[in-house]
Amino acid sequence: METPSLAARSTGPSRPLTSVLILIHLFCVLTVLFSNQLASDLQHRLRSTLAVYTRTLYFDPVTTTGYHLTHAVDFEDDHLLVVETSGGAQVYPDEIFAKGSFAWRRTMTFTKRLAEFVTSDDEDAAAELIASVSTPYVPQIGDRITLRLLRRRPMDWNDPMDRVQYDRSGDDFLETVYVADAWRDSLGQVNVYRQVAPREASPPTRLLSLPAEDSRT
Amino acid sequence: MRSVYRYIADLNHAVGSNWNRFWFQPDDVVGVCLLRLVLGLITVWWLLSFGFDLALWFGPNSIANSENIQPLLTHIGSPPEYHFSIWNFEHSNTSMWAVHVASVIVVIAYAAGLLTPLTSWLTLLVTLSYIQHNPFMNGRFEATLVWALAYLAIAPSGRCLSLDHIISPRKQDRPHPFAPPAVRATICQRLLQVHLVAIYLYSACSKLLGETWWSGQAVWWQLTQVNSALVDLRWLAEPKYHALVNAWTLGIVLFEFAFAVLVWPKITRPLFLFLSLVHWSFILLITGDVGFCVLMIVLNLAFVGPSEIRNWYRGHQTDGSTELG
Repeated sequence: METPSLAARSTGPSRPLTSVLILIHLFCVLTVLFSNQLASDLQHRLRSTLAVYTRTLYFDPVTTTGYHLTHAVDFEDDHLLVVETSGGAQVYPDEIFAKGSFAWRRTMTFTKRLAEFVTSDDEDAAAELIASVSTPYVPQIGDRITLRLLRRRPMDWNDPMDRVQYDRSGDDFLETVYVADAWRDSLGQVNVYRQVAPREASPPTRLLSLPAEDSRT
Repeated sequence: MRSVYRYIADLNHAVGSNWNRFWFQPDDVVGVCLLRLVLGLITVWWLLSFGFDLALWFGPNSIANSENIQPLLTHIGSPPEYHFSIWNFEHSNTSMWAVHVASVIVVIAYAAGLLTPLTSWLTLLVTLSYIQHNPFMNGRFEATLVWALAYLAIAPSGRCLSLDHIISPRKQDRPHPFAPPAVRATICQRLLQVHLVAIYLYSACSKLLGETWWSGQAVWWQLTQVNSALVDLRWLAEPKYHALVNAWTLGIVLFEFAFAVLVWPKITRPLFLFLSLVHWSFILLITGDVGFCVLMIVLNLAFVGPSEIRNWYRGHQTDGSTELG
């Protein structure tokens, strides 16, 4: 790279123009990258303005990139999706694929996104995603399923009971986050109805917490 | 006042000359060619994986049907116009498989270095199509793969280690070292380096937004996600191991900050590339994110100089030939 003699053999694009393009590109990708979490109002505006370029080329994912690995908030925990057909059969979509495979990772990621929406106040978005998940399981008019989203509660190392009873397949660590019925109506549309426990029928509880509000430390 | 002008002139000259050397010094293309080969193979691996769940994501009754996903994208402020995909059109089972097989062929051709100036852009288009159809199934791997492929598309990455090079009629006329250096190879490699370092920096900064990273417990909360983790390390819950988990957690943040700075000096670069290998191997164990961790290790090649690659190759030659064709 440092060989000066190579410079003489270079044929390349115009340096000033290329320099400007490089600067613009780096400004765009660095702005959206560092706006992925807890963005300021200015960052939100810039992200929105640059979206034509950064979203189209996926430099700016619509969801959190996840480079931080974890902030120990609930929706980042492993979630399991259970599909119960009207015949009583149970399907675990994440168990269809080999652990560690790309197909398994896609299912796990999608389930986490689902958890992110259903634990937020955004009921409309959650309903759209639940309808989306239900679609392959209700191919015919009149088909009906129940979807359960379960969260695997992480083991607390400060809790002696957790340390004693931890078990990879133990159901003690599974808690139900969301239950919904889905069916395909006579018009071919997939409808979703969330099952709500009586105690939850009051104003919705905000479960989503931002990283700054971590509660597990 | 004259000294101020002189300082500004010197600054301007120093910044300009360093900028030009950083971005425009023509470079041996073997580095970007090797990256094309390896990233191409990773992309083939990723695309072939859709063979198991293609209908689930792209079929007529898929999870990611436009009827549900597009309103959702609009709802969260990212209208479908930003998410162009060949999968946004209606597909029967037959056309779905036809598109998938064609996509795999394009990416295999790219990995092999066949018609690279064309297949590099087609590979980017194919990758974006699979990613953009349903952004909710994408994770760190997809977010990283796409920019790496975009940068490689601007480089002459088919000039060696490729079928293009093998079948080229001008191959015999090429002087040593087999393919002329190119400014576009430098620009590509520098963009890869800068973006990779930005990822490390962002990764470290975003970790510090959470208390779990400050308190040294984040690795614990990650490894307790046993559905994701490749190995069950919950035996680290024993109090005697808590300090180890704390050190691991803080070590991750420290390493990511240090990598962003110390991967640039030539003297510390080999050490940090090696530490990166160790770092991502351990992250792989606790996250189970095989594709992403492999990709982050492979992207370290952006910091390996062409001379090292050629020396390594020569060291593995048994027949005396040194040509990377």
